[in-house]
Amino acid sequence: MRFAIIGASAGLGRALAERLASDGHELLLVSRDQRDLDAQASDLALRFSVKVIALAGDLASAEPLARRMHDLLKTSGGCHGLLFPVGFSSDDDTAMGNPAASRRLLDVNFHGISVIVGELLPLFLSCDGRVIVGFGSVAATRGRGVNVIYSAAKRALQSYFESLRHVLGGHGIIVQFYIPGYLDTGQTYGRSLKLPMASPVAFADRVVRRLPVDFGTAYFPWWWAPICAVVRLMPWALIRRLQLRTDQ
Amino acid sequence: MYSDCELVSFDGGVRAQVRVHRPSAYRNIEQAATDGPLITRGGGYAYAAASFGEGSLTLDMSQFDRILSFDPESGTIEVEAGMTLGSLLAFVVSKSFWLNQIPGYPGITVGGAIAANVHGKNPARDGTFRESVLSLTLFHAAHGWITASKDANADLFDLTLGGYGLTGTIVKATLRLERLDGGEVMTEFRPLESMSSGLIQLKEAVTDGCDFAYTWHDGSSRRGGFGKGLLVRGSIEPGTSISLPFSRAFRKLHPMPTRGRLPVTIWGGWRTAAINATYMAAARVLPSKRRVSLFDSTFPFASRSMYFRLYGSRGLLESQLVIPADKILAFVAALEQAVVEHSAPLVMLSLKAMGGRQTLLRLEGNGFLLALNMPRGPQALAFMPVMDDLATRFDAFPSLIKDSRLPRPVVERCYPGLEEFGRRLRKFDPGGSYASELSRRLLF
Repeated sequence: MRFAIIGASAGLGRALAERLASDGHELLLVSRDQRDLDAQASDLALRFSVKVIALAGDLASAEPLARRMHDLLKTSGGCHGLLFPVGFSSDDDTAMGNPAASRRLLDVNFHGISVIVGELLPLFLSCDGRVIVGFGSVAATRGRGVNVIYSAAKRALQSYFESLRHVLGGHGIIVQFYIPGYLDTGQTYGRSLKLPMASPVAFADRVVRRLPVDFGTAYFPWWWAPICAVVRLMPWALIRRLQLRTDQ
Repeated sequence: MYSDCELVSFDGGVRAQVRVHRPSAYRNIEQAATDGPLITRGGGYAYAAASFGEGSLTLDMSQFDRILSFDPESGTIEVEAGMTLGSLLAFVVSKSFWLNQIPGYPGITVGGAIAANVHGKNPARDGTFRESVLSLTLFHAAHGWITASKDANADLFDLTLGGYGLTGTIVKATLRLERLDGGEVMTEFRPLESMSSGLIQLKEAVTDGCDFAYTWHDGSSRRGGFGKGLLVRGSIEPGTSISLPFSRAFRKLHPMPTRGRLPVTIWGGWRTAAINATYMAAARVLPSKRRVSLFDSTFPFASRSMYFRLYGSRGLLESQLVIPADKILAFVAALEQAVVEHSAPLVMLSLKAMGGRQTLLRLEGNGFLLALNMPRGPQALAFMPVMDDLATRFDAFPSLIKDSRLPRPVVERCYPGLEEFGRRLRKFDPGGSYASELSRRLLF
C-alpha cells in the first residue's frame, strides 16, 4: 500500500515515514525542501527496500502542490492514506502580526491541508478502505496570548476533520484526528515545558497501529484528554491568570 | 531549535554553559545564527571538549543520520555525518560489507569519527578512519557548501580528516567499504604476566594476521610483573553465516554530565584490585577460545558500559599515546617506575599495535598505542603531568581527543604538525569561524 505524508521530513512526519516504510509500505513524501526529502527518500528506500517518491512543495501555495500530487497519484496507482503531520508556528504569532505572516500560518496549518484533501478526494472516493489523518495541537484548546493564529488554525482544522468524518463516513473512508501534546521535535527543542514531551517515534507507532480504527479524535498521550477537558471548562478569570503566569 | 544547557566532556574534565542548535533541515544548517564561532557535535563521546566551548554555538547533527546512496558494485556508501557507527554497520553488514576502522562504541558518529580520525581494533594493518573516507561535503559559515576529496579541495580534505571539526560542519561523507566474508568472530583470550609479555604477543598476533589484537592489563597489579592481564586476539571466520540483525539491544551510555552516572566513584584502591581480579578469574573460567558475535567484538563497550559508570559523576582521566616501536620497551619500564613512585591509581592499561605515518594532529605512527585510565581525582591529576613528561621523553604522540586537560606546551613538543595545521587552517578560515574548548586550549 502507499501512503502520502505531508510534512514528512522532520519530527512526527519523519517518524511516520520510517514506521510505514518499516512495514513495507510505499510512500509519497511531501515537504518544503527537496534536499531533506531526497535524503529521506534514499534512506528509507535503501533500508526498507520500498518505493519512495519525494515531492517538494509548500502548503502556502497549496493549489499547484495539490494538482501535482493528484496527477502523480492518479498515474501511479493512487494511495491508501493521507497523513498531515504538518505544523508551522512562529515567535511573531501574535494578534498584531503582519498579514503575510498570518496568512502563511493559516495556509500551512489549515487551508493548505483542506485544498489537498479536496483535490485528492475524488481519487479516494473511488476506492474503499482509505484513511485520512490530521494532527491538531493541545495549544488549540483555548485561545491564548501567544501562537494566536497557529492555535486558531489548529482549532479550525479539528472542526474540518470532524466535518470530513461526517461527509466521508458513508463512503468507507476513515477520518482520524489526533491532538498531540508536547512532542520532542524541532518546535519544542530547548524549551522548558511544564509537562513531559512525548517521543515522535512512539506517537508514529501508535498512529500506524490504529490506522484501520474509526475512532474519530484522540489525544496523545492519553492524559492530555482530561487536562484539556478541565482547561476548556475553566472560567475566563482563571485562564487569564494562568496565561499571565505562563508568559512571565 | 536552540537550547541553553551544560555540556561536559566525556571524561568529566571540562564543563561549559553553551547554546546548542539542533538543525533538522538542510536550511537550518545554513541559517544557524551566531555572532561568534560554531562547532559541530555528533554523539558527544569525545573525552576532550571538541564539540563545545564557551561562546561557541554547538551544532548538534544527530538529526542528519540518513543513508544517501549505496553502490554494492564499487563498495561505497554515502551517509549523513550524524549517522552512528552502529547504524552504519547494521546496514552495511546486511549487505555483506564491512568497515575496518571502527572504535569500540556504537554511538560514535561518522562525523565524529572523521573529525577525530579514530582507529579500530587493528590500526597497524587497517590504518585509521581516514583510510575509508573518499569524500566529504561540508558546510562552512563563511564559505558555504564545499565538496572535498583527494581530487577536489584536497588541502581542505586533508585538514578535515582529524581536524577536530575546525574546518566546518561535516554534513555528508562517502566511505569505502570492504567485503564481509564471515559473520562470526573466533576470539582467543590469553593470560599475560606483564606488559612486556603483552607486547611480544601483540607482535605475534600481527604476524599471524589476526583481524584484531589488543591487551588489557590490571592497573592495580604491582607485585610479580607490572600489568598482569589478558591478550584478546581474534579474526572473523571466513564462510561463517552473517546473522541479522547485526545490532542488539544495549543499555545506552549517555554522554555526560550525570545522566546514568553513579554519584560516587567505585574505581580506586582495593576496589580496583577486587573488580579486576574478578574479571581475570572469569576469563580463566570461560573457554580461552570462543565465538563472539560481530557486534560484541566490534563494540565491546556496548555491553561493558558499567566500566564507565563505575567512574561515577566525576569521570575519569585517560592518557592515550602512540609510542614509537623502538622506544616501547624503555617506555614501559619508565612507566612502571613512575606508576610505583607516584602510586598512580591506575584502573586499566591497554595496548595495541599501531601503524602509519603521523601527520598534522592525527594520532598515527609506527609503534604501539597505549591507553591508561584512572578515576578523576587529585592523585590522578597529579600523575597526568608525569605522563606528559614520558610522552615528550620518548617521542610519543598523546591523543588530543582522549585528554581534556592536555596542555598546549606538551602538544607543541610532541606534534611537529601543530604549527602547520594552525597555519593552513587560518589560511582557509582567517575569521576563525569554528572553535571549541579544545581548539582554544591547543591552537588559538
